[in-house]
Amino acid sequence: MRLSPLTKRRINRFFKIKRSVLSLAVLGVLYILSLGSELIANDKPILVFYKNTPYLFNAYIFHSDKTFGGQYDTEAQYRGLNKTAAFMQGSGNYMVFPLVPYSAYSSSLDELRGNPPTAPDAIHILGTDDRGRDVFARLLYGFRTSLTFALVLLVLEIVIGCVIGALQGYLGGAFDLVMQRLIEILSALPFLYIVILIGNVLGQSFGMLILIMAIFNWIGLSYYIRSEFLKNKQFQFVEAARALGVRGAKILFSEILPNALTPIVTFMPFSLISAVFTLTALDYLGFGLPAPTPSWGELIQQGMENLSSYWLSVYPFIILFLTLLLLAFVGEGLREALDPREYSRME
Amino acid sequence: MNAPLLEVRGLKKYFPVRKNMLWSRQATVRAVDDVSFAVMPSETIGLVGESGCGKTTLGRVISLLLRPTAGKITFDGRVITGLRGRALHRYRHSLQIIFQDPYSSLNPRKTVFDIVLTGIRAFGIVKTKKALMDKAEALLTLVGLSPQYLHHYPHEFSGGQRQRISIARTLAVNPRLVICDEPVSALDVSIQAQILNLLNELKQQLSLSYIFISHDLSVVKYLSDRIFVMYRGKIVEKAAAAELFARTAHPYSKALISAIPEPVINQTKKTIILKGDVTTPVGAIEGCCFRERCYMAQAVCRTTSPPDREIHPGHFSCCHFAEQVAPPAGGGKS
Amino acid sequence: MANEKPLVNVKRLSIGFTVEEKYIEAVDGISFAIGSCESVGLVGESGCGKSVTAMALIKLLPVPVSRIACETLEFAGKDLLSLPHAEIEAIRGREVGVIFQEPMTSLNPVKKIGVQVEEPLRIHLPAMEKTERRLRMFEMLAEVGLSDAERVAASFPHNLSGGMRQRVMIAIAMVLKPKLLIADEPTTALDVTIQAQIIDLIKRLQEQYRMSLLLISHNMGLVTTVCERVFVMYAGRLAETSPLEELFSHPLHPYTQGLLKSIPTLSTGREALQSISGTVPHPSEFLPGCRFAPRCPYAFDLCRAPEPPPLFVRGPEHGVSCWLYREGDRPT
Repeated sequence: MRLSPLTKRRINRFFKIKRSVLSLAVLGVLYILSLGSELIANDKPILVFYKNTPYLFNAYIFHSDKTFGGQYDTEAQYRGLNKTAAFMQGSGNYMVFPLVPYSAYSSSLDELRGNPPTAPDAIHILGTDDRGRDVFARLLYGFRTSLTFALVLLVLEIVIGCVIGALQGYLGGAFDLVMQRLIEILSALPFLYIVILIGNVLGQSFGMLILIMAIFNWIGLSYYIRSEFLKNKQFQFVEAARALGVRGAKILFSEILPNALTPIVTFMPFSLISAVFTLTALDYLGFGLPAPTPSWGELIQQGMENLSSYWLSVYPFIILFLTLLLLAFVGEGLREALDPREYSRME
Repeated sequence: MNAPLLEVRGLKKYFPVRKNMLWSRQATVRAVDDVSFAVMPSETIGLVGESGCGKTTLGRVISLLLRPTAGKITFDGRVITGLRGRALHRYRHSLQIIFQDPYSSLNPRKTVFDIVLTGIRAFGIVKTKKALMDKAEALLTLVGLSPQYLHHYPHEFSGGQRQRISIARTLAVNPRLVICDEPVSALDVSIQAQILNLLNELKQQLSLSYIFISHDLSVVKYLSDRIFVMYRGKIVEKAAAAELFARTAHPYSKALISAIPEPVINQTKKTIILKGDVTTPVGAIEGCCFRERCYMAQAVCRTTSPPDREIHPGHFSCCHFAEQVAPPAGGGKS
Repeated sequence: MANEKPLVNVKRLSIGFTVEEKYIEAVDGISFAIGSCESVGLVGESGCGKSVTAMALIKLLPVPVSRIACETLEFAGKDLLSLPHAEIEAIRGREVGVIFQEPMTSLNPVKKIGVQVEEPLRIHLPAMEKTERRLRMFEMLAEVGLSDAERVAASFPHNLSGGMRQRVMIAIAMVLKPKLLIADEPTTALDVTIQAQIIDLIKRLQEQYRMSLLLISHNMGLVTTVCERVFVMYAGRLAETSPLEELFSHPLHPYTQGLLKSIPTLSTGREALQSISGTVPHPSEFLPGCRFAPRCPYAFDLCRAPEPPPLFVRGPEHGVSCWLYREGDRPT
C-alpha cells in the first residue's frame, strides 16, 4: 500500500520536531522495558542452575520448593535458596538475580537495616516504603500499570467515542438531539462518587475502574468526532458514494472516518495524560486500584503519612511529572504535524 | 417516437424551514414545485436557472439522493418513486450524478483506483482483483487520463483532471441517464472546453442521456437538445435549444439570455436588467412566480398562476403573454 | 489617452511568496499602464497572479511572506516606491477603491451598513461635519441603486442579499470618489441577472465619476462588455495586451486564440469546441522560458529555451509575449 503523500508529509513533519520524537522514543522504550519488569526488579532469579539443569524465567514459570530439594509444594523461596543445605551441597549450583533483586509486592523486612520506610542506600537505591518494599521496584511496576491502564482506556474511549460521535454527526436529527442530552446527563454525574459507590458495592478492580472511566471519558472525543462527521458528510464525495449505491455503514467507516482521524490522533496523548493523572489521583485517595497493586498514587499517599520520608513522595512525583511532560511533548508534536495550516491556498 | 427513458409528473420537493426559534412556526421552501417533463433516450436536457431556483434539488431527486414530497418518476417504463431498499438499489446505477465541485466530490483519503471503483464494489459487478484493475485502467483511459495515475491521491490532480476522475467513477456503473450538476463551472476557462468535449464524446460513444444543470446558458446551449428554464421551483419554459433562442417565449428566459456577458464585440443585443433579487421560494405564492421581477407584469399575473401552454409544437411557456414575448414564428428578428 | 501621463504606471513588477519554505514567483516582471478614465480588463485563470498584481498596486500584500520587486510603480504621477507608508495609506483609501469577489466576507458582520459606508469618510476626511457625512452616505447608497437607503443604512450585512451587499461594497469603494476602482471578480459569486445589474452599475459609475477601472476577471465575456483595453495574463506573465476590438479581430498570442475559441457562446454551433490541451500550471511548477509552451500548438525550440519571450509590439498598444512574433510572422 502506498501511503498518501499527505500522510507522509505529516509523518515527516512530526519527525522533524526533535523534542517530540525524542519523548516518544523514551516513552516507548521505557514502556517496552517495563513490560518485562519481572526481569528487571524481582526477588525471583532470572536463572537458577541446579543439579546441572538450568531453570530460566522463574518469574513467569512456577517451580515448587521440592524442585530445589525442599519439602513443600508451594513456590520456592528463592531469596533464601542459596542458604539451604540442598543448594549448598552440589557444586556449580548458582542463581542469577535481576538488576534489582527486590519485588514490588513482597517486603524484605528481614534484610532491612532499621524500620521501614528506610532511606535510600546502596541496596535500595530509592529506599523502601512503609511495608519494606523497594520503592524503585514499585515505581517501575507502577509505570507499567499506569500506562497500560491509560492505553486500554484510550482504546475503549476511541471505540465508544467514534461510534457514538460518528452516528450523531452522520444521522443528526432526533438521534443527535437525544444523545446530546444523554451526554449532558452523563457529564453532570459526579465521577468520583460513582467510582467510590461502585468500588464499594462491586469491589475495586482494574477492569471495573477502566470500565467506569471509559463510560465517562469518551465524551470529549465524541464531540470532535461528531463535528468532523457533521463537516465531512456535507462533502460531495459522501453524496457521490450514496448515489453509487454504497451502504450507510460503509459510508460511515470507509468514506468519512479516514477523514476524521486528525482529532483522534491529536487527542491521544492528552487522553493518556489525563488517564495517568486521574489514576494517580484515585490511588492517592484510595479509590483506585486495589492493594497491593503497585501505584504512584499510593506511594505519594504514603509520603503524606510519613512526611519525614521524602523519598516516598519526591521520587513518584518526579516520575509522574516526567511521564506527563513527555506525553505532553508528544502531543504538542502531533498537533504541530497535523496542523492544517499548510493547506492555506495561494491565489 | 419511442418511449421516454425518464418521465417526471407533478414532482414536488418541499423543505421545512423554521422561521424562528419556536418549533411551531414552520414554513416550507418549495424547492421543486410541480414539475413535469420527459427525457428521451440519448437526449441531452439543459436545465438552466439561477441559484436557489431548485435545479440542483431537482437533480438530486432524479438521481435518487432525495425523496420527492409528491409526484411520480418513471424510469424505463417503471415507477421508481416509493421504492425502497433493494428494489431502489437496483435502479441506482442507471441514474448517476456528476457534481460541481471537483475538490469536495473526491474523497481525499482514497486513491484514484478506490475512487473509480466505488460503485463497482458497491454493486459487486466485478469480483477478481485482476478484473478490477483492468476495469479501473479502462475507465481512466475512457476519460482521457493515463492509467499510471491509478495509485495517486486526488490532491495531486488539477481541477480538470479531478473532474475526469469523477466522470470515470460515474461511468463505472454503466448509467443510462447522467445528471451533470454544473460540471464545469468550478473549472478554469481553458479547461472547461476539454470537459465539455469529453462529455459530448462519451455521450456519443455510450449513448447516454444527460440532464445538464447549469447557470450558464451558453454552455447549456452548446450541449443540449432541449432546454428547460427554471425559476423559483418551476420550469417556466421548455423548448428545443435553437427554438428557445430564436423564439424566447418567457420574459425570464429573455432576460437571462440578454444578461449573459458574451466575449463577442459589437453586440447589438440589449441587456434587460431585471429589478430585485433572486429569492428563495418560501411558502406558496399567488399568481405568477416571476411577477415581482417581471418587466411585463400585469394585473392578471398577480392573481392567476399562468398555465403551462404549448405555444409551438414542443415549445411550452408558463406566461400569460407568451405570444407577446416571442417574436412571431417565421419572421422573427435575429 | 496616449499622450497624457497614465494614472497607473507599472514597470517590471515581480511578486514572490514563501510557502512551506519554498519560494514561489507568482508574478514575473510585468509592465503595464492604465490611463485616466480608462477601463482595463485583467483576464486570466486561477493562479495566474491577476489578483496579486492588483493588490500589489495598492501595496496590500502581507509583508513577511511576500517579496515585491518593481522598477517603477507610479500612481497619478507619484512614485509609490519612495513614498512613506502613511501617504500610501492615504492614497489607498482616497484615490483607489477596491471591490472584492465575496461581499459577505469583505463586510464587517457586526457593523451597520451606514457606519461601514461612512468609515472611509471618517478616516480620510476627518474635518467633515457629521451631518454632511451622513448625507454623503445616503447619497452614495442611493447612487448604487439601493433605493431604500434609510433602511439599508440601518441594517447589518446578513440582512442583505448578495447583490445588495455587492452594491454596498461599491458604495464603500466609491464614497471618496477615487481615481481608480479595482474590481476583483466583482460578480463571480452572483447570479447572472444580478451580475447584469452590478455590471450596469459599475459602467454607469465609471462614466459618471470619470474614474479608471481595473476589472479583474476570468470571464472574457464580462471584460468584453465593460472594458476598452485587455491584459491577458498567463502563469504570472502578461501574454498579450491589446485594445478590446483588436484582441477579438486579431488575437496574437496562441493562448488568447485558444481561449477565445474554447468559450462556448450563444452563436457557436454544436461542433466540438477547440480546447487548449493540458492543465493550468500551479505557481510552484512554473517553467523557465515560455510558460505556455507545454500547452502551445505552435511551440518550437526557442520557446523551451530558458529565456522568456519579451513583449513584442504589434500595432498601436498591442503587445504580445510570444517568440512567434520576433520577426513579424504570425501563426495561421
